[in-house]
Amino acid sequence: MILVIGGRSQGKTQYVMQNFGVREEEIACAFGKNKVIVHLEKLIRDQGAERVLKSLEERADTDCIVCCDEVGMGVVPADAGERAYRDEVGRVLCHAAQRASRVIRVFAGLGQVIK
Amino acid sequence: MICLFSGGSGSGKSELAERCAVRLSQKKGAPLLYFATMRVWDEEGERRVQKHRAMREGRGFVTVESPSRLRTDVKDSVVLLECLSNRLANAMFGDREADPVSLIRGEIEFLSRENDVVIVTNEVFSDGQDYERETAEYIRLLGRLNCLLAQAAQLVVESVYGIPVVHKGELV
Repeated sequence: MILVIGGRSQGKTQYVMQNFGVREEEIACAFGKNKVIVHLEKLIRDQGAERVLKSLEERADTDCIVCCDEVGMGVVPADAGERAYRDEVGRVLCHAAQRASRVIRVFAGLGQVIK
Repeated sequence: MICLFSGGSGSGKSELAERCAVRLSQKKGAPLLYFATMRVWDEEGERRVQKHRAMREGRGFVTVESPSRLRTDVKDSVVLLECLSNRLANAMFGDREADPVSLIRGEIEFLSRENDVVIVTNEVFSDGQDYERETAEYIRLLGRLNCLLAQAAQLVVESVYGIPVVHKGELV
């Protein structure tokens, strides 16, 4: 598993398509037959952290690519649910980063391998 | 010496900072102090404190409750200050300090003369939202403090989901 993270709209999907020769039909916001899983943060919001962690574990030793927005770099929100969501995304990504063979952070379309 | 660890919510920065503090203390055989800055108001705060206590358990930290002014009468220790963002919020909104940046910077620089100080701070700078005056001022001052402390620090690390991205110095 390769993990690709970065702020919103930083060109993560584009980066993956260009650098890993992925076609558009191989990309989806779901854990299906797709090679590339995008917007993991949305899956966490919709399905909850535990279910996403389980799906990640099933794919961790494959050649899949997982993309996720970084969402924890703002002022801590006043809403308790939003606070919990950011913590949950962080918790899932800490785990995913540990399991991933490579972690790439995309900034303005440029990828930096941090692991 | 000052070591600064930053990162967003859930980025794993506490874990990296704690490991750094433990290693420093093992190297020197120095006692480990944990300056806990959080004021607990509700159940969520209590849960957060419990989670961090569980993380620290068995690592030999002595906890010093530090919501307000920091103790400066310690030496030859490793001090883990967690976290700068709460320390600043308490100084601004609780204690209504006149010049919180100079105060906190002064406390930390004084402490760092005879101790190793490992600081956890927070990235709150990148959500592109406009905030009302008090919060905007808080963001500005935390950014200022981070810059000043990073200048004085020998080690500056950003935690990206548990991966240390070193901006200055070398990991200990």
